[in-house]
Amino acid sequence: MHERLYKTHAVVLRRYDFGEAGRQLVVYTPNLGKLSMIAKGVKRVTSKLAGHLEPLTLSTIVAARGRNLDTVTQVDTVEAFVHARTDPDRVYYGLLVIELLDKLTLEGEENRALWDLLIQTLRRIDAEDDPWAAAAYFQVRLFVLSGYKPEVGRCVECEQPLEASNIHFSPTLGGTLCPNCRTADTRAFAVSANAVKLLRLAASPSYAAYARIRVPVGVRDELDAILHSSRLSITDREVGSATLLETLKRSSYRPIGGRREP
Amino acid sequence: MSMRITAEPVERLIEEFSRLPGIGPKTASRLTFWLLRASDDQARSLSEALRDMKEKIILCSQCFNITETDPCFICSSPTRERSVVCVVEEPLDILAIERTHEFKGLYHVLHGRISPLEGIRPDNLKLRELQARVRAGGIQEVIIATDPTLEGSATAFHIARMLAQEPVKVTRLAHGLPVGGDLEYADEVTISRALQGRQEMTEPEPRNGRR
Ligand SMILES: [Zn+2]
Ligand SMILES: [Zn+2]
Repeated sequence: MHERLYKTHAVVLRRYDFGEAGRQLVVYTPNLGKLSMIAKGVKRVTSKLAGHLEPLTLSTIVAARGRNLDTVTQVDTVEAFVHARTDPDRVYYGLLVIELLDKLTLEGEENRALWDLLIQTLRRIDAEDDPWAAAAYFQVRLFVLSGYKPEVGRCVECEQPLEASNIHFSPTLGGTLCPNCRTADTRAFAVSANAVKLLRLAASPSYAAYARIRVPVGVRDELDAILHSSRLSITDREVGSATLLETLKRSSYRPIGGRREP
Repeated sequence: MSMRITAEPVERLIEEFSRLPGIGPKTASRLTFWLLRASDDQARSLSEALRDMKEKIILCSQCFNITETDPCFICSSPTRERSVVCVVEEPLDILAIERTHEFKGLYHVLHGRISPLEGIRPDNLKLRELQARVRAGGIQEVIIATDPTLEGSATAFHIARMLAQEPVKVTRLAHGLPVGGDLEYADEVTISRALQGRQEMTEPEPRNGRR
């Protein structure tokens, strides 16, 4: 009987309605990678499972193996990330993280480094002053850990070292281009040496070195453009949370994300 | 290779039922075979009910509730308080609130909640319409009654910001502990909200004036 049950840490990436008051969940776990499971009755207000199975929560799940899908039998919150979930300046960065992770992973492929990155990122988005920095770092590291490491020290086409000016970024080739090779990708766009430096730091496993950099607004916009074009090129379609963040940034009643304008 | 096991119209109905929320292939087959044995009248009545629902139901131009008449019976009622508007995600939420007989104001149905994971953005909801209603004047309080989910609270904050410059009071339903629930099983967000929404306890009014 007991081998049917297993226990795992998990973060809910996505959920949809399933049956009467139930939900099908897509969760990410440290040792089982991404998997789908069923949680029965969670939409009822009296459900003991409900509050622990929202996205952006680190939970311990006990699940029963099923013929098709496993079923959640018990769940407890390990870390609630209350700010990440309820602060409107943070929540969409958190959603961007899980949405992109979902897009770039397949079910059943474990990746311990990616799990650690996810949990550390949720902690940073929850606690640090600037959720943008943590979300940007996550994206670059996610690209690296999923086999899309951006080529930044030299030209991705001719492999020559880059000069300090006249650098372009190619989302299609996934790296920087020298002036001679800039036509190799029609979608390539000019980037500053500072943006390239920031991208290189974000690609490295040390968050401390990256987080020490003070990023001027212009460079932040450049990294946003690099990330946007890379997401498009890797996943074919922009993720919903990123589009929403962009809309909110431009909306008239309140600047959102990153530095507040005076 | 799937074998065709039954007549085409039967298969088609099973397929249609399977698309409905909460209905799997087994239930879809059960419903279909029940209808197959049902009388002609029963089947015809069901198909007419479906057609009428699609043809006669419209959205109220004021609150966007589903209705047969425009404005809906709530918006056109002379006894409802017109200065209070309760914002809900779906028309079904109105039914739930109406059953309590606690609320005498008007409603505003968003038809969803902001959910980037499902591709639902603010402009897919009746948010601009809410802002226009508030700007038209006469509303003193907007009560946000979106679901106590991550998406529901993101939507609530979005509305609060959208209306921050308007001369209205914006409140949100207190999400305390569910009746019948056990504190031990409550999640952290519920407990912290319940703490924020705590109420002063006063001695119960003595009955029949006895002290
Ligand atoms: Zn080159
Ligand atoms: Zn109405």
